[in-house]
Amino acid sequence: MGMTLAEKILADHCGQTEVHAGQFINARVDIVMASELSGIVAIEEFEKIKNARVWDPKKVVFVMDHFTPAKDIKSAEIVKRCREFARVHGITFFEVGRAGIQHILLPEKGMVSPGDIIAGADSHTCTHGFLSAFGTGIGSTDAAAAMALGEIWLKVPESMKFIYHGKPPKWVGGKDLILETVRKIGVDGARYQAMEFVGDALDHLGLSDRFSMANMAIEAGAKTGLFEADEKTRAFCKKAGAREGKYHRSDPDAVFSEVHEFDVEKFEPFVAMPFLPENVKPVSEISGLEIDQVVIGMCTNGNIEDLRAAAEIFKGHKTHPRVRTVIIPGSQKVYLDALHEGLIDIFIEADCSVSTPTCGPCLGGHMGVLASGERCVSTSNRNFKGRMGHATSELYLTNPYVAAASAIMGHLASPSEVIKQ
Amino acid sequence: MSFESFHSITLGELLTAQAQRYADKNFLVLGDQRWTYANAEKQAAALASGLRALGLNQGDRLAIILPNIPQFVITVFAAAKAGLIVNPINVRRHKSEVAARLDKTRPSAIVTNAEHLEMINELRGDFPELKQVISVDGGANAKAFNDLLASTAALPPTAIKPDDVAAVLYTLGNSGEPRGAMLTHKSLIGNGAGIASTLNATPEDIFLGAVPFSNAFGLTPTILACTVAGASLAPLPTYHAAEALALIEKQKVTVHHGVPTMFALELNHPNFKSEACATLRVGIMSGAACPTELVTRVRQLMHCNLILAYGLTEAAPSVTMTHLQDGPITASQTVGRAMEGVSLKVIDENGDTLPEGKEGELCVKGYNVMTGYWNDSQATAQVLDKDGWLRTGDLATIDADGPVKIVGRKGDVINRGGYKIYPGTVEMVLRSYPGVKEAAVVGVPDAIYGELPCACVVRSAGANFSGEQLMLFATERLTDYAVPDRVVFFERLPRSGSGAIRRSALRERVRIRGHAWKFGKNIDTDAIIPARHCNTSDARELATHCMEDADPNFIKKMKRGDVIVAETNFGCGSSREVAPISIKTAGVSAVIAKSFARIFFRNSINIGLPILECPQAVDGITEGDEIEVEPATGTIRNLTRGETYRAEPFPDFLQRIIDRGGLLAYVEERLAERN
Repeated sequence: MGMTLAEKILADHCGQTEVHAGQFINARVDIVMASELSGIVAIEEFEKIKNARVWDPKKVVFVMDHFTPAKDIKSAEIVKRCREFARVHGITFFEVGRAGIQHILLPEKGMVSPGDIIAGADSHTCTHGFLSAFGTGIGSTDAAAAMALGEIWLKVPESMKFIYHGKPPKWVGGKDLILETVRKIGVDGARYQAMEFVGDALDHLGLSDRFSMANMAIEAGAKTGLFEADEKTRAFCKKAGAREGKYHRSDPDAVFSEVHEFDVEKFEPFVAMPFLPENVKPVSEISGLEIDQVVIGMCTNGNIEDLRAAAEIFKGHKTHPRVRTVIIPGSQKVYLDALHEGLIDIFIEADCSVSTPTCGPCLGGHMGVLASGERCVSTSNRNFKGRMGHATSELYLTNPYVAAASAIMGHLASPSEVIKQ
Repeated sequence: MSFESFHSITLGELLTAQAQRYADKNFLVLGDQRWTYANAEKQAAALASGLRALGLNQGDRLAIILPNIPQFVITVFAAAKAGLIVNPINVRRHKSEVAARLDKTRPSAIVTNAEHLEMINELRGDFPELKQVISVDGGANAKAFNDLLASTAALPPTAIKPDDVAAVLYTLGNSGEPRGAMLTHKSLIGNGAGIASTLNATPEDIFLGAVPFSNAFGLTPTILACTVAGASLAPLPTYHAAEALALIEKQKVTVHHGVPTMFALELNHPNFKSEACATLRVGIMSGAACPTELVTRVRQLMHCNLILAYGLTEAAPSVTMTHLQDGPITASQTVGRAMEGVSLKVIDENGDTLPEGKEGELCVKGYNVMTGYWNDSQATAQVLDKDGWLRTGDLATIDADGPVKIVGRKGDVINRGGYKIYPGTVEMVLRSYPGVKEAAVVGVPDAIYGELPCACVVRSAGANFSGEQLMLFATERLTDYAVPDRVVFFERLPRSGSGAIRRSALRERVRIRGHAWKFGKNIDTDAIIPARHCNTSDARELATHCMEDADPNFIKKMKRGDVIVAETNFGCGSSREVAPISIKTAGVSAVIAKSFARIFFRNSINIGLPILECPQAVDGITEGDEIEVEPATGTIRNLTRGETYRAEPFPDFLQRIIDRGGLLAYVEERLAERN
């Protein structure tokens, strides 16, 4: 019986030649990752384990990215505790000035290779599927256990195949493909499934588009979201100095629980309306809705390609006087590249604030928390009630083109309203 | 034999006296090493001086984190000579538990070994009064135990009286927090002497040190009874059945104390040979219910005339013991009579003394009762009255001629429509049925009777009797209302670290009843919290905020036994386990979810919260419905609508994690396997 890409990666990590959906396994992990938020609880759990040692300090990574640079004393204390733990156990530790958002940072540092299992105490760890790694979110107790054992327990998920046909129109990117996918199947549509993304449309898109898609697999309830590794993957990993990795692909007779096909030529930029990522409409249907804030970057669209997209719209324009715009590069490297390419100049001239890399406002932490009744267009991945601030605030999820156009127009806007084609 | 002369001395004086009497006799034996009574006295005296020379003063606390090794024993006597109060802590305690105990008594010094130094050094910052760390086998940032043994300093004048506190032993309060029972020299030695007398112990005896020295059972009946008798002690640093058996044979052990599990492990071990235990003469079995069948096997196969005993840390510890000359019923089915100098009574809920034969809470008074809990007058007042009676929290009957039967813990009594059922009585009958390996009886909620007794039974390998057969057997032997309403079979019973059955966990495995709370798609506990309260490391604080955000009155409305019916997107991220921890904190007993969904599901399992996978139940239940859940069988009943749903049974793998109370215990097992 053929195996899916997900099954092949898992089999490779539990010493078996074959595993299939429904099976319980203990899988060896290549990286255990936590932020300060999940790390602090993981540390407390880890210290409860009698005689526990970190199984392999090089493979345990703490990235301080949620409330950093520390937004208040409590955050500073949490980071301090994580820093001390990292020092004592010799694990890899990234923070202010040397960091970025974990899902952008680790691939960039060459720490993720195709075929790896990345267990992260952050639900968006599924992002690493953009490099064909089985990334999956775990809890803090899980993280503590994985830090001690170097493995996690897993139920092998079923896989769903998503096939995208055609060439995406202008202003349409990976974010729109995943928003439309979540709309179609719903926020539970891929519950405990591995989403496998394929199709010729991907040939027209870059790795940063794959990044946005894998990142939001969890928004459909998926265990992970995977792409087959190809030459683009190989080039990225080589540049980052990553290990060679393993280039698995699903067998022709692999069993998929569902197959969904999309004609992306009919797509236009999409918007996920409050309060669920499945509540998706084409931007043309809802343009005109007045907004107060725009946030561009963070993890989902925080790569250099995303900032280039935003800058393409902002160039020669200003943020609407009623609106405030926050740009958040995903890592120090992305920030520096943006600086070298002149993108930061464009943003500042467009009255945008440019922040240090942080998850910040995405989870209502800092750097742009919303007041009651405020409306924000964001390139992030979740728009649940209260996600970016007050419970009555509203969040609209879009790609960076739409976010930038909305900032300029002062209302939800299609990029074509700013740039006439 | 009587040891009355020891009743009015201190622990320091006890060793001095024995060193004069039995100077060259072996006191402690570990491998090829020997400590005579004279050696031990010399080392204890030098260590006492050395400890005082480090700046410790009379009345200071001295913590001990050591396995069962001779240095533990030397330290106990040295502390007594120096006027220090010992606080032993079990070596198996993890860091947070050690911290909780140090926090209680704030010791000035700690005697430990290299294995624990890293943890202690990490904790030192939080305990500024912990001035000295002494290691028996070297290591960084610690004074060497052997250097202190070489101390030539004179011991400063120390006035210690038998009524002074010699040890603070940690025990657990009702909510699991540690409490320090203060025991005097007099209570400890008096109790040790009483035990030595009951054992008919002599200088010819060789005691096995199997029970951890850090608890009262290891301290008094083992170390002190041995010392009082002038006998030898062969400690077992870490208990393994095979090593215990080897040591018994090698050292020709005559006295073997243990909890029932130890004896069962030894008898069932492939290395067990009856003839290798020929030197065994006597021993105490205590610490948990002692199955009659096991007692009989130990007496027959190990040649060990077991004494059954009842005690508690707060009573130094022994309260009652059977005697070697007792008849078979008393010797097998009771915990014996009150020890000399100890008074007993049984009281009802109003505190009134009950007549002989009536079941009620056992109270103890005597020289052996603690003077109180260290620095905790409130907890002391809850258990110790002004006349010196200690409430044990154990339910017992006292027969006319004195033997005591323990029938259970106060909180374990089952109330079946007004009839009180004592699980211990029922369990004893169930255990006598052939093929019953373990049995525990717990009360489960019932609409008519309030509670019904349910038998949770583990069958021996090969046994295949039915629940009906066992109930028929019980019907012939028990009052009708005490017969279990039903029998549920388990692979194993959930137990705490000390081996006690976790009855609350068992109760909730059998049946949970309460109201349903529905959570909708929009509640993302991972997201709402950060917006306002997230930057705290206290998961429970997060939990409170989490539920407040979801529903401001959630925690107030929630009652133990209630269940959460989780819509599918519930707790979508929750990588910090806010959702399951908050649910558990709020008192929810189980979760019914649509599927093996997301991180929430695994997090629930990882913290030991039962979660049932049943889409039909999620669809069929409306908020407020009265729900009954039986996690052990996967049955969900909607009592409001008269519907029954079947949940997917847990795979064995997940059940193992839940049974252990969460993932961490499972990790420890895996780590132990690797080592």
